[in-house]
Amino acid sequence: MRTAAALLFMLGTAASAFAQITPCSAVNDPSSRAKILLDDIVSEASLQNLLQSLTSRLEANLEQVRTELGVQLKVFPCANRRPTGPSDFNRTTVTELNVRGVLMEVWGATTAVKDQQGRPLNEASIGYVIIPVRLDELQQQPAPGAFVIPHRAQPSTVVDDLIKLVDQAGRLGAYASLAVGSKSLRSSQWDEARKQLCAAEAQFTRLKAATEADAALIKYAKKLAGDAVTRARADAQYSGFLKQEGVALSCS
Amino acid sequence: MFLTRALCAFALLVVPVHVWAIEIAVPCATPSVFSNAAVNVVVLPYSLPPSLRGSAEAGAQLGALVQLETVLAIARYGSIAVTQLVGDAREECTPEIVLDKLLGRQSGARETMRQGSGLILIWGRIFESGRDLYLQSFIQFLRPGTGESVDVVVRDRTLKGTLSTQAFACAPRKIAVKDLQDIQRQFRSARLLHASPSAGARSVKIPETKGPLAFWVTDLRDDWVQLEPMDRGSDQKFERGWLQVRATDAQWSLRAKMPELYFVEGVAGYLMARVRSNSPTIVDNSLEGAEAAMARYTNAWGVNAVLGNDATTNGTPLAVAVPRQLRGFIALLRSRGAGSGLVDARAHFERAAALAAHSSDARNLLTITQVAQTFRVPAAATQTPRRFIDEVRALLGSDPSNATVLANLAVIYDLVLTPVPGAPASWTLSAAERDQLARQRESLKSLKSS
Repeated sequence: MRTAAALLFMLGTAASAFAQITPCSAVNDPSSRAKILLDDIVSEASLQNLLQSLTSRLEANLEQVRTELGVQLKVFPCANRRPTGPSDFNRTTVTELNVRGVLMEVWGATTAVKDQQGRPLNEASIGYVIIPVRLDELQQQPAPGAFVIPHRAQPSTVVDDLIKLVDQAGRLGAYASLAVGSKSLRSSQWDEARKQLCAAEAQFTRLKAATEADAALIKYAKKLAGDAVTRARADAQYSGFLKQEGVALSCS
Repeated sequence: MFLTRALCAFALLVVPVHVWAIEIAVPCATPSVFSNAAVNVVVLPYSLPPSLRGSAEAGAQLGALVQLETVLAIARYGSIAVTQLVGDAREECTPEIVLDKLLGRQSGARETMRQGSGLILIWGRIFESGRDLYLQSFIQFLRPGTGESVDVVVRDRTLKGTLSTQAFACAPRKIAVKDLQDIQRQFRSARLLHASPSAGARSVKIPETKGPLAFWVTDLRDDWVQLEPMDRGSDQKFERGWLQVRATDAQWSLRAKMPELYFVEGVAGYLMARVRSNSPTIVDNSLEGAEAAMARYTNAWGVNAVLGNDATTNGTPLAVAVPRQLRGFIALLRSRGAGSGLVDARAHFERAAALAAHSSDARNLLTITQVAQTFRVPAAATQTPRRFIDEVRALLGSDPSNATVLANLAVIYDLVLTPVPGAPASWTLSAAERDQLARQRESLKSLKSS
């Protein structure tokens, strides 16, 4: 009786957690073990230029990540899925996404806002959840695994500059490497973890406009890259290069 | 006289008259290549946003123009084929599905790639923002069953280098709405088969068809190609005719709008040299053409690049780093081990490593040329070769399972442990150093990756 009640409670909890955001059927696609989800991008009607710039750049940036990362991954659009913020990605949701091979989820919104002087601005907000990092974050690690980066522009900004503003090519590449590296670390694939985490660190240092989240993530990537060496050395089953004398914990 | 005629007839029999082929409007669901060609180029339709409904065909038409431009550019390499795919760029026309089919990893291809021959895949997207249009291409190149690598001989040993990647995103470019109209206009004119290579000559239109149409390319003259229909299962029948590939309007050039087509031309020449490596003439000609095209690309890649032309910060560093690496490969192959090739290669690899700092392959390429230069002219070396051991060990520390770098490390140990006649005194190892390096060298043998 008690077991049945506990089961019902657990099912109820899971259902309420999933009720927060529309499920994405692509999550269950069996053809890919590494997935990136691109959710709906929502916009106010007056901000079409910003919406088009944001949508097209995010799609192209993710295609670039898929092409260049060197890992078999697929990018799936998730129609009608509109996270309201990082809090949607609680432990149940993130664990479920992790089990299904989701590395990262990206969403976006454009809104008209005002600055402190009351002047109108257009804002494109891009939300990210880096699933393996979010899992760690929910276990009290300091690095942010889910966050929103706002990009603001004057209403008169020309489209070329809007595209530059919202382009995420370098950032998404760094996040994807971090996600693969972090996940590989969890599955004791020390060499792949080290490679991707060192690549992530190098890519983070190239970002033109690093945010607070980026600054925290680069520290996190460095720490995990060091962990890959430490844990490889402690692994009796491992006999790869990381066990050699003189391998530094830092990447460079 | 009889003997001469007999020899000519024999030559016609053994040397294929048709060495170039194209196929247009091949459905993505059943992609195809010409497996006998040394290098195949497959162009997927460029995806367009739904808002460009009035130009719904422009994505496929741009693909068709890229195909014809490519034919004209790479025909001089010899055995080439270029295929244009059509279909929904967001469904079955994705590069990963098409590639899997062409490599036989998934069923569905009419004709698949042969091991060792070259394949270049081009795809992309046109996107709209405000009144402006933007275009971004993606390129992948490969030889099934072979990773692209280059050898650098140092004394009696060989160091290897590989590319950072064989697939990358090109810089996104701004194109005018008028360019899209020009694409459509040019496409219409590129669907007329003329009786002779003249715009005024009698012409027939290649009809819009749901099925593919294959042609031999039997001649090239300036901006014209002569096509002869090929019997490849289509029920469409044509006479041989001439097709104008490039616009007569000199103001509008596809290659000027899309400098990445120079890269395609260059990488096709490079692949041809590798595929036909047993023919010195083909290798020399192909590499010469490849270097010229790559040089044009590295000069022009930033044209209309909307994110700026600083490759370090514009988000597409590999679109410059990989062509630089290929130019280094070409310099080494052309010089056949001579020192001048090494100097050029090192300069290219240096630029590439600065752009792709996250790539251990990029840094490895630079290191192997530095090692070679050091051992070739020991007297000119500013540092002892032992430092290369530390450098390569650091590389492996950030990419522990890189088999190429690991093999190079073993070679560098051997080079350092072998006395070099005429080397500076600083190169001489003490007994303790020798013992330590020998132990490190030995320990590499038992390595296995996770």
